[in-house]
Amino acid sequence: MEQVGVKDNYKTIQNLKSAGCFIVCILLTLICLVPLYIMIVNACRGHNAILQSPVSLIPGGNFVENMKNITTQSPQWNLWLGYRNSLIIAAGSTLLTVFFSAMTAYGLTVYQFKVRDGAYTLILAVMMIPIQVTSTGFVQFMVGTLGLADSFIPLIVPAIAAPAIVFYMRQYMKSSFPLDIVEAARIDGCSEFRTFISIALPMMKPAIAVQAIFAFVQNWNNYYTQNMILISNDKMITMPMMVQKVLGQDKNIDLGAQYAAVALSVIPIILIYVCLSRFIVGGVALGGVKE
Amino acid sequence: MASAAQRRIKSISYAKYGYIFIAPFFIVYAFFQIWPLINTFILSVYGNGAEGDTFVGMQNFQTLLFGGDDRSARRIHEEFFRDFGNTLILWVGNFIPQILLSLILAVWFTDSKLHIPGQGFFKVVMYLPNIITAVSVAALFMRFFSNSNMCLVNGLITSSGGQAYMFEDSAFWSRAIVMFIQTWLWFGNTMIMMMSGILGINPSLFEAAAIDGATSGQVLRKVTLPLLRPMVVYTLITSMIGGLQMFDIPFLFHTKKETLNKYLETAAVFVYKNFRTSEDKVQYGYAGAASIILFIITALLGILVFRMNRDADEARKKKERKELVKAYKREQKMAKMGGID
Amino acid sequence: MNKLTRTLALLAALAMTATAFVGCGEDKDSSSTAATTAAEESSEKATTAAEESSEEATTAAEESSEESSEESSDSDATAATKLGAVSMPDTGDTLTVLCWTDTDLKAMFPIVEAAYPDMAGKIAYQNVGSNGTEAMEQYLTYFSSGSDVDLYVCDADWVLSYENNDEYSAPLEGVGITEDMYSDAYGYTVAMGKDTKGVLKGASWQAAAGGYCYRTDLAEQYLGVTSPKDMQAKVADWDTFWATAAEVYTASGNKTAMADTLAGVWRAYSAGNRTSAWVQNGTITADNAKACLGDFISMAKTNYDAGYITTVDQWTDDWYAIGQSDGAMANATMGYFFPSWSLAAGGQLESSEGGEGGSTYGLYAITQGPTGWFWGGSWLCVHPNCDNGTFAGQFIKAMTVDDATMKEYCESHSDFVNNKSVMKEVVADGSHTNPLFKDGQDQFSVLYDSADAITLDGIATQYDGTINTKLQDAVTAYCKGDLADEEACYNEFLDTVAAAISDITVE
Repeated sequence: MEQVGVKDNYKTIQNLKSAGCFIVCILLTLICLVPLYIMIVNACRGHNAILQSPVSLIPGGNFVENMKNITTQSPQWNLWLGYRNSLIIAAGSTLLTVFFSAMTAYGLTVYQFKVRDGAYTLILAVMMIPIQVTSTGFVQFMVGTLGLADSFIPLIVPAIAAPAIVFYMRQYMKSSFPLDIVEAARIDGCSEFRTFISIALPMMKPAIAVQAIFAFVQNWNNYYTQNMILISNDKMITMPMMVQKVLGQDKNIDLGAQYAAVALSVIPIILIYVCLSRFIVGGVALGGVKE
Repeated sequence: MASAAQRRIKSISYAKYGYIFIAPFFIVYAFFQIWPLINTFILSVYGNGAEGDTFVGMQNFQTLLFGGDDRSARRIHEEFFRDFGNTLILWVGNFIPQILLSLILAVWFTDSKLHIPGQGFFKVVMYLPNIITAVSVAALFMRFFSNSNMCLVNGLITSSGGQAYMFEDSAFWSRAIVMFIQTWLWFGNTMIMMMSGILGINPSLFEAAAIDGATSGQVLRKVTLPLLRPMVVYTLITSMIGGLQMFDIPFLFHTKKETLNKYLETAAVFVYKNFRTSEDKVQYGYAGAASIILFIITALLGILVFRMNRDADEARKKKERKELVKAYKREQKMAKMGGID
Repeated sequence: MNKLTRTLALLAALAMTATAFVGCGEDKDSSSTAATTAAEESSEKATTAAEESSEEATTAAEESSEESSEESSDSDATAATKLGAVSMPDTGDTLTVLCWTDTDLKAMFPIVEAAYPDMAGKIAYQNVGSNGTEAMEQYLTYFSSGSDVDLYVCDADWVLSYENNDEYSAPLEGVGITEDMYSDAYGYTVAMGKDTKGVLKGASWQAAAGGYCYRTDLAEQYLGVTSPKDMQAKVADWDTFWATAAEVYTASGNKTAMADTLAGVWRAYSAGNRTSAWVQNGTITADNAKACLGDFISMAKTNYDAGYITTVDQWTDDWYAIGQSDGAMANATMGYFFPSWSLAAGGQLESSEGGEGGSTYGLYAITQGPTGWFWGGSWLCVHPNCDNGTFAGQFIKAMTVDDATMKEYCESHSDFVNNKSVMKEVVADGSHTNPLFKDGQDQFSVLYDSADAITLDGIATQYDGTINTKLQDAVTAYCKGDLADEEACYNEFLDTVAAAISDITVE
């Protein structure tokens, strides 16, 4: 009898706790969503309506008109072209980043070799260099020396060397990748690359999934470098660049169109994210079952 | 005896794969990044503006760290320290809430005993802010708090009869808003990282703890946190690096065009300001020197964190390896001696 | 193995460093020469240059021909209609013009193509960057990429730094454009088209004269003023302007300011009242800085504190909101200091009226204001790699020299063009109306005299953009109470300038 009482008590406490957590989560969700909601609402309101009351909770019916007006704000605005270019860059660099980072991390974790610690330290050191300075030299080198202006190559290929992601992958492998598996694969006669691709990669899925989404988002939003490389070809400019061209306009401002441009740049990535997120959450959970 | 020797041979014969696996990273890095990097080091010992090709040795470092006699040097020195102070304040102010929040949420979401409905939804939503471009985030938040009489909060104040408040003119509000934005942007990201770390922990450990009757607080302190250490170290390091290089939001958060908010100018903004302005203003020397100082500080902090969290596992393994080699050598010696005998 | 790797890495690093030095060396060399020359010669040269250009075109023509010894020394009317000898190659296919906003160029192309049929379909523009500041940085990247570039558009704030660098700009003489062609142009545009050595390197198609735009309804209500002429009497000079401000402020119940922004007042004040260059011999001396500032700091502080200048900043949403009669900041200002390019359709005036159908749409009128002044403007420069010399020359000539094409552009695009006789014709014609102004007032007739009054005799330097920004920041901080007194404001201004521009000495 008493036993049951304790259990009940325990259950109530757990339920209360859960409820408390739930409320906190709801609050955080609101904080996360309200700014985005306002962005979408304002994307549907006209310029003067926004000027008079910057924030409203009721969307207007101006979205289509705002969308049309974006072109008057910046003639370079081309929705599909922007999506396409951003997608090529983001997808290309994400693939390269996660694959080669996993490979580098694997090499640094599985093998014993002379320069290993040195190489790892170097990667860590590289991670600590401020981007603001190297990026200018990078652009000078890419555009001036190599003549790679208006090319996707300087935006995609350097993704192979992503120190922070290598660092993450190595940390992950150290905490949850059993080296015995490699030994076992060797005994089975599996070649080193096969081992990496068919055993290590699937086991690193959670880490890869997490870093893939981070990398994708980061590359999709990487206005800074894109803006310095894709300088003159209107056919190659990306979504964030188009948005910036709309926002950077200082004559004849149309706030509705500006919000619409921001919203249009964010919506696809939200959609991709929502679709992928299930896979990611699942992937993260998958990573739990080990040994 | 035989197995030790075998292991040794094995590790040598596979070493070349280590080089092969890390080669792409270093080749690409060398090709795309080494030049800019070396350039930064070179620039730091050269002059500024028109004197860009004059070798000045440590002059830039001296000006940044200790100032000088003329207006320019004094001001540069002041600005550098002000911007560094801003960086530290902003970083600490966003890192602490961010890591606490993410850790708590990650623990909740991975706790099988808690039943939070809509977990999947929450996880997805909390990461959402992170996917929006900094430019849009800054623009969005400036609609809420800014120097504009028409931002949301000022709209509410004035409509209730008050005087509009100039948020950017206040050091406290400027920084508090940016700290909030940074936390808002990054707590979901950190939370996912923490979760993947917690889920990477062998579930049998939690089961064992549960069987032993550990409370959730005990589990957190004795199992989760220690095993989560690599992930926390990772977050700490990346956040520290990101924090010291904090740029986008502080750089964008000002209503008046071309005039940055002096309470928000970070070290990275300092570097940028001196590096990428118009032709008559470029001060590559200061920019280079400032980034090298930034780099040294980051590296020192990084080493400190590593030292404090030196992986016990790694140390043990190294010890073992040494022991093995010692044992092997001893055996050889013995064998040799035996042979002579 | 290890040694080999190290050696290889070292070699690679060395090779790259070498490239770095080569690349940097060239850049720095030229800019340093340009800047040193600037420092040494700026004051005298610029003064002579501007004097030449202002009214006496013949002297200017002689000067330039002496320097070039290529052109004939006469500068009669016929000389202006013919393109001079073009020394730049004609090997290119298309004339490429770089800009950051294509609205002006789009209007120019059909006019140029009609005037020069051989150029039809062979002119293209290229947007680089999304605003002026970004374009200023990105042009350099574009140049270094080796892509085709013949002409590029520069903004007033930074045109001189491009002109002063021979790597970025070539003398206009190379495309057959000489200074004697600009006898009809506004003097200051020619002064700003020349580098520190007095070589003509940029040509402007517009004269950005500014005026004071005011709300006719408020003027009638608070001042009893019904015509722009009467209003001009109320704002004729700075003293009258601030006296009127006091009147307006009291009459409106301490609600309506007279001037839109501190920056606007400074633009008008500095272009109208400053008589010497900020930087002389590479130095800003204490005396000169004080002379340049005049009584601006105290004037700004007094009137800001009195509520005669609003607290908003230019280029913000608030800036537009204060000009309307509804919304959160209704009737916050009596008027604005606007340059000619703000007055066309889609410009800042329209935004301040709330757009078509806005609360103050068509309620503004324009007067000359307390002083003749200018703000901004655009210059066309020739890149040294220009491979369409003749086309480039023809383009510049059509847009900045020839009467017929400039008149067409003025009428179709409502831009105040850089040609006195054309503007005279347009004003005399009296057919131009602007729906943004009450009764369709023609801004050209008002600005016509203002534009004439602008003198920039040797007072423009390439640092003016930065100096303006820093001064406005310091004064704003002082007005807001962040800086204790005028001395602190003055020191803050000089300190920030000194820290931003290491090429000049600040005493």
